Amino acid sequence: MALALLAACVFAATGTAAAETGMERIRRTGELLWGGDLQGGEPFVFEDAQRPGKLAGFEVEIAAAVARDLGARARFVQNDWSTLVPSLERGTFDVAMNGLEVTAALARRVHFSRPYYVFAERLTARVAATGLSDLASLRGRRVGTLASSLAWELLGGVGADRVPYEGVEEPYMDLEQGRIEAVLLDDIIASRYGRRPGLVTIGDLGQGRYAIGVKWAEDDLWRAVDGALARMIASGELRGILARWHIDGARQAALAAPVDASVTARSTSGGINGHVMGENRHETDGFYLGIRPDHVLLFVRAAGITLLIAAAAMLLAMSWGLLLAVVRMPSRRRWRRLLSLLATAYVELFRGTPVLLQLYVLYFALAPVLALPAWAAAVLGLGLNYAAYEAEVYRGGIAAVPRGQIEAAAALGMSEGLALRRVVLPQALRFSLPGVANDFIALLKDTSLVSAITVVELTKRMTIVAVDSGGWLAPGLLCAALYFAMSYPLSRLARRIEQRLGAGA
Amino acid sequence: MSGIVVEGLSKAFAGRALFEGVSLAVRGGEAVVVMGPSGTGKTTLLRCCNGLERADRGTVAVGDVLLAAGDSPERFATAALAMRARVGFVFQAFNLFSHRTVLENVMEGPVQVRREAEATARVRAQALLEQVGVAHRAAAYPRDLSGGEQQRVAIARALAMQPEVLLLDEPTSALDPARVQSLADLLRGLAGGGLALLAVSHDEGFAVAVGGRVIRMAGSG
Repeated sequence: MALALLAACVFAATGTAAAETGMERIRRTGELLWGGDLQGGEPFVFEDAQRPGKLAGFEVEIAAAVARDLGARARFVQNDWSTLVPSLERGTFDVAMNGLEVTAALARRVHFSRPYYVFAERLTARVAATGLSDLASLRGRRVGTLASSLAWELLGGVGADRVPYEGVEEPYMDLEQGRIEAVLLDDIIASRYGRRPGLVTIGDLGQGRYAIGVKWAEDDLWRAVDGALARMIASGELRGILARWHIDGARQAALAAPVDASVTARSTSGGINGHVMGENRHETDGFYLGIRPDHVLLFVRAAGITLLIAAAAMLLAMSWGLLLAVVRMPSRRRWRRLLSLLATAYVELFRGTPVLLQLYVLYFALAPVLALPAWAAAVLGLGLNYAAYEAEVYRGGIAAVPRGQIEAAAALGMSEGLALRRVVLPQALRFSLPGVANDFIALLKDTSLVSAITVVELTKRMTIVAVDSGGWLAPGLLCAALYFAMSYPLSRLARRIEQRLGAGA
Repeated sequence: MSGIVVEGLSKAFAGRALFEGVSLAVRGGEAVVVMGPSGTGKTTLLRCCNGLERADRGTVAVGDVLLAAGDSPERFATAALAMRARVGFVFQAFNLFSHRTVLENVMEGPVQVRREAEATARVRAQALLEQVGVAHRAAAYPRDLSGGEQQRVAIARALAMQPEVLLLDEPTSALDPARVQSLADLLRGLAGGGLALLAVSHDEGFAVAVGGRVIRMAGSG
């Protein structure tokens, strides 16, 4: 029944899409939906601080001009930068425009218009850094950039230790803190966010182009958008917009040059603007539904990282949670009651706020005083958060220990502490085991959140591969299979231990 | 041995007197059964004797250890610990440690509280289990034992602390009548060894079988 319903939905969705071309849709709605990410910030597209709720940025103006040319109004659709292309493909918006870099891999998936900006890949490092000059010098170095960007591919090609970020300010913050050795990002980003006291520009390591992405299927829309840009370039309107945002320069003269066919054709050759692309491998044999054999190895390694972080965080959560639970046990002593109050406040605070927020605070907000490495912040963040849950599980376990057991310990002359250690906790932990096992499985999956602080674990690996290769199904299934392969044995193991302990409880 | 001396013990609960001005003494080698209908505070009286509960007035003395209702909380707690080192308690529900075997239950007090060497404690525990007749269940867990077996393990656990006084709360409530006699025999034997036995019960047959003094509590409500 549900399946039939789903099939009907899919049919209805594809049905309308097939009935209407891109331009017909835009004429009908009078709107050109364009996707971008506000987190990319100034000067691309951002919320105007002077006029809350209003957008500003050079791309906002280009979008408005293109839409005008199409006889429509531009409407912005917020979307994570790293998934702009998949969202375009599934029809969340008509065009993608947000510093979308023309790469061979992406050109196979989206139909690029002619470029509207020529950017340089700018390398930034700390003032004291040595030995950094060109791409080759980055081999083995920890270099931050945006995942799935041209820089990401360039860095992969020279064997750099890539650190993926979601936002544009965070890489430079981490560079300042010494968490990474260099940042390779577009010159616009570098000049806005990389200008920090301890940082220095090493140089521009190549050029790339921003273009508007359109679905390959919507040829009429592509023609209209590309035509609009051509007219804006010819009339000087485009350079005018760039100049207003102080990003015009000699490099932009290339915009007027004849369009490079390899950019706009569905080409499989790798070279763009004289670069030999770092990764030309998407076209090789053995490419199956977006997964190649060496992807599997990457996935398994990422699964190892996931498991390691989960195990370390759980160890922390269990011991810290136990301490919290013991401190929260009722007592007549004043200082114990005060401690108990503090522990309760801790539990409520950490349970009552999102773990993602806690990770951000630990990694970014705390960085000026305590620059934790990403993996340490991940383990600490998840561990401190789950400790609040474990404390509650243990509290329940302690409450479940029959009063008679505690009285029997007292009658034998045991002190409170001894009774706790020998009688209450051993029994309470048995009662807690199912809850703890349950939380561990939940934690295993919550590790996906630590990608927000640059740790490439299993889910992040999956999104990177999926965005690179254009297939979500195979990477998604492989990712799910790996999670399941880790969590299922865990739940079986917990069940076995429970049964064995049950014999004595 | 000195036995236990209770003087002027009173306890009220929710504004109602459970018992008032109870005085009694049990000498070493003597077995005393406190009888009375339920609700007369027999169990509470027993629990006041080792400080599991605190009386409103009165004192309990075993040798030079004095548990006084009027003590400060800290003093009372200290005295209760000292009292429990000399007074064993067998609960009505036995309260054996459910996560430990029979043998471990009996060894727990000597090893953890008295810091006895484990090997010595094991030998003594085995001997005690032998004495109360459940040596064959040494490796079993409490939940696999019958009520009668659990009671004997509870007695052995209390005896392992080498107390001067043994308190028993309703010892026959979980036993079928045929077993009452054998329990009484065991307790008589323990008293014969110099122990002071104080049991509360509403079982006339048990009181007769133990053969000691019987004290009757009247309902005060």
